[in-house]
Amino acid sequence: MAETLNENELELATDKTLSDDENRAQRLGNVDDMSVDDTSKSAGSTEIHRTGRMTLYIRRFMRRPSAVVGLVILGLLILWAMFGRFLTPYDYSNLDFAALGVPPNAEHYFGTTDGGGDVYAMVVHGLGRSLTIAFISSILSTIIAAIYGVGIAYFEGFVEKAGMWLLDMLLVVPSTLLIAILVRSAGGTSGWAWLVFGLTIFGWVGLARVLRTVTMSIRERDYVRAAKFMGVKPLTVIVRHLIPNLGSVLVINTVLGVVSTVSSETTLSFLGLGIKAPDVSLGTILNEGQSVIVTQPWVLAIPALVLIILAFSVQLIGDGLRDAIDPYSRSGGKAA
Amino acid sequence: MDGFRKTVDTNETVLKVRDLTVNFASEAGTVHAVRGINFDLKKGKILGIVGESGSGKSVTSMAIMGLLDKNAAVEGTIEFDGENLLEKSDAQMSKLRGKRIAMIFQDPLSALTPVYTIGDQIREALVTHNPDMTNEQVHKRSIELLEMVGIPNAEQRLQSFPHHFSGGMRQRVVIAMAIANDPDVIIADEPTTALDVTIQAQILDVLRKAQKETGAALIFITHDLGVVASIADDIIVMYAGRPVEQAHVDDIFYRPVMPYTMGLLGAVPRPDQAKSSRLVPIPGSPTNLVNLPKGCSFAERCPIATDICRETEPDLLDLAGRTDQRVACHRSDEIIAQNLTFREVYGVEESVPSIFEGIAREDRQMVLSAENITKTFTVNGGGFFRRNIGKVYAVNDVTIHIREGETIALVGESGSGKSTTLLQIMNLQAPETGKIELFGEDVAGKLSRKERQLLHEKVQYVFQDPMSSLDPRLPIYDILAEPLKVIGMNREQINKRIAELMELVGLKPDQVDRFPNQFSGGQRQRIAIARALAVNPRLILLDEPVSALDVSIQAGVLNLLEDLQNNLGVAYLFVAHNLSVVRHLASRVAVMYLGHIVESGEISEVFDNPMHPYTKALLSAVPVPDPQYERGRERIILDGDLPSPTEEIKGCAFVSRCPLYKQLSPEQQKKCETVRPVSEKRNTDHTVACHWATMA
Repeated sequence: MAETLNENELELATDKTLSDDENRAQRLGNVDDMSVDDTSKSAGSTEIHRTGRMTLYIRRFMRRPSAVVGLVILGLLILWAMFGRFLTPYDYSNLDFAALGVPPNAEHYFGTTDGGGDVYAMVVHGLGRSLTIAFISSILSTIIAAIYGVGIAYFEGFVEKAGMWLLDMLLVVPSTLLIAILVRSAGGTSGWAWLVFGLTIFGWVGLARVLRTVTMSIRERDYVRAAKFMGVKPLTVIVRHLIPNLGSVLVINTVLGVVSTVSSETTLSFLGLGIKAPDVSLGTILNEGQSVIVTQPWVLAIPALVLIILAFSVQLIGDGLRDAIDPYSRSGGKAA
Repeated sequence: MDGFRKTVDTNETVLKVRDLTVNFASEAGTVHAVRGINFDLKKGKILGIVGESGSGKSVTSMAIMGLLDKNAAVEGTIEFDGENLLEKSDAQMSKLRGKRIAMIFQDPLSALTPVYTIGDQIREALVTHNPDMTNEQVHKRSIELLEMVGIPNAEQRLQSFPHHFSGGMRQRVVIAMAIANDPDVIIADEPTTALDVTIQAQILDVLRKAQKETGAALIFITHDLGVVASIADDIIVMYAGRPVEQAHVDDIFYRPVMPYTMGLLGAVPRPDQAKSSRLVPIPGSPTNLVNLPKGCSFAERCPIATDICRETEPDLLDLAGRTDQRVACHRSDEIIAQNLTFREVYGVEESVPSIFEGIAREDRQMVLSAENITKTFTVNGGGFFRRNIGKVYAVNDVTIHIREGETIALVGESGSGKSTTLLQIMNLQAPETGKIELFGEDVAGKLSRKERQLLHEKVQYVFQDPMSSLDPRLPIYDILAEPLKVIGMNREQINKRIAELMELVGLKPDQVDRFPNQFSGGQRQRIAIARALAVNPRLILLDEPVSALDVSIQAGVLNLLEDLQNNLGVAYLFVAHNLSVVRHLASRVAVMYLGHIVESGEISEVFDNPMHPYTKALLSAVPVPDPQYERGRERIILDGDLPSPTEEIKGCAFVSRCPLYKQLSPEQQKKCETVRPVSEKRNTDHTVACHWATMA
């Protein structure tokens, strides 16, 4: 029955990747080089009306209202983190001694802390810091995980065994502790870079295990075997055939990785093990707020709310992406 | 429940389908999967619905069962027992499903729940609709059912889990469950497609028996014209969601009127006759169900289409002068008046003479010589140490010789080691025993990377499923360029070569920027063949190259393979389970059973005078698209399944199923059990591995 029902969905089933547009443009160039004179399209039979993959994903993604809402919220948050500081004269590191611990008002939109720090400015900067850390580390760990996980799965045998030992070992390493030590030894302003480093080198392990498992099924596909039979070099096979076909897994994991990285970053900073003064992240503001929760609740409540909105929006996007890319999902629309 | 055998009045209509249409939503637009189908299903009759993938045959059956997805819009009426099934709710349909209308699915592996015993699952089928049955009744009935479908030791087998059963046995269980409640209508959707021919013959027998016992009407859906010829009373041929011809089975096969039906019949090679002429593919590819053409949906592929065909869609009308034959074709009158057959409509081409024609086989160069090769897999036990507890002989002492410009087919049931043999050759490594020589060079010798590369160039591989053998995210250009880059061609050479290749396999060179999923199955297989040809190989190994394709497209690919061989002199070693295809394409054949080659030789010699009892059974199990021949034919139906390869067999591997063995005297049987038969030359070009081949 599935033979024809959803041709497009089937094509998704075999092909899970995001964009080929660049590749394609390049290829079109090559075709021109060939200067083939037979450009006439045959009468109808071979002409295929096709919706581009990217368009298809976007359409399916947009069909889900919650995903669009998530995307809009995330967009607004990013814009706010980038340009929000221009809306206030205060800087996150400057203290306003004329207003110590005042509640939100026209001057200080989100109030101030005990020491006179402007919570608005701090939240804007902290959000930016947290987002930067989250995105960089999430993308980096996905890349490392992809190369490592796919690599060990492709080579099989001893390489795979040894690779898995290393992964299992890394899993039992007390990563939080090591990250704390790393960041502690670094200076105040470069601390966030070390945090990215720490989160990345421990963040890819789980994903690499997942990717190895997925690759185990892809490496048995005929096109991988065909490439081997043709004598294509292993690295080329990995980069050309394996990783691109994991596209959807990679994209979804990167997006969802952002949420988990934000939460581990804030957790570390909250415990005083991550970002350190004078730098600010959502975690450090939360830390500051917990001691004054009764007297100045806004210091805790506002960054907490921002954090929840951020996590929520990314989660919605992740769900939407998964449904858009997954050929078996229910974003098929209605029959006329 | 008693009095199983009912008196069947074959004129009573049990199911009446009128103007059934089914539409689906898809990203590309509305898919018109079924566009108006009418039929009456009579009690005790078997209706075959034939069509290629996407013709709407399965969707029709799902609509009757009320099992379509929510995004399907169904219109028309399906009258059963005076009620319209389409108006019933899911809950109401559940009362009918399994009780009055039962379904048998294609894949028996997924039709049974792995965590329950067979007994529990049959019990469920019974108790759901008969809550009052006592345990004893259920037990008795279950045994009765299993015995009816030919499962030995029924009582003990009730305790078994599905994984204890082979595919054929599972399909029997599924049939037992389908007939458990004595239904009025049984729908079988490609029930034998996933099975080997020998098992298929068994299952068709069981189905016929089950249908007779219950007196039910059977709807048999298939793409295989051979299967339907042997079982159906009436046939509906579907194309692009519409029935295009509807008639008694003999009329369809001997007096087809619709050009599509003719094409389907002409595109299938016959296993029982030597290759007489080239196959005739139906041009073009299956009609897109989203953007249907204005006129007859078949017009763009029909060689005799006229303007009216492209303007209006013909209705399915009774044919003057024929009883009960209905055809949807504007030109049916002319076709009957001029008595046009497939030959006149499609026109048969001449094939190209081979460049090796006239050169005796012995004088051609040896391309591949594999002598006594063996491939074993070790079996590991469970537990912590995973100890080695046995060996499976996937390929056992196999010898193959291929010379330039010839095609050797390996045939046998699944699990007989055909594909493993191909992979073993392709690996270019020393086999466990024996020796593989390619172009006179021993692959076991120390080959440098460069030399190995050169060998890779000369031997290429074509996979079964072009869906999975082409990377879905690479454009055709990159797919074809891959082997060329490996041999270090520069960009200009690559571009030139790709243009040549596309031309060679009959595709337009300007399509190279498209992705594989923009092509139909047949075109994709052409691309896969083009990739294999890219580096000018002298030997191509083909693993079931056409089994994933529709018949009308299969013919085109077979012709392509034939032409390429004749023009380029490339040799093929190909694996197939479809003996009709083998007969058409191959010049020599080797029959494999459990890793052994039991019979080999020149193709017509082996097919016309099979000597090994297994070959005989295999050939007799192949359905032939000829109803009269089928009716008069006596099949050798093998008992049981392929034995497990882990079993250690001292004598002949075929003993457990051999029909000849049963007729032998005890001393002779002893020899079969203890001495492994060796291949002996029985004729000039015919070797058989059987102690008693001359007796059969």
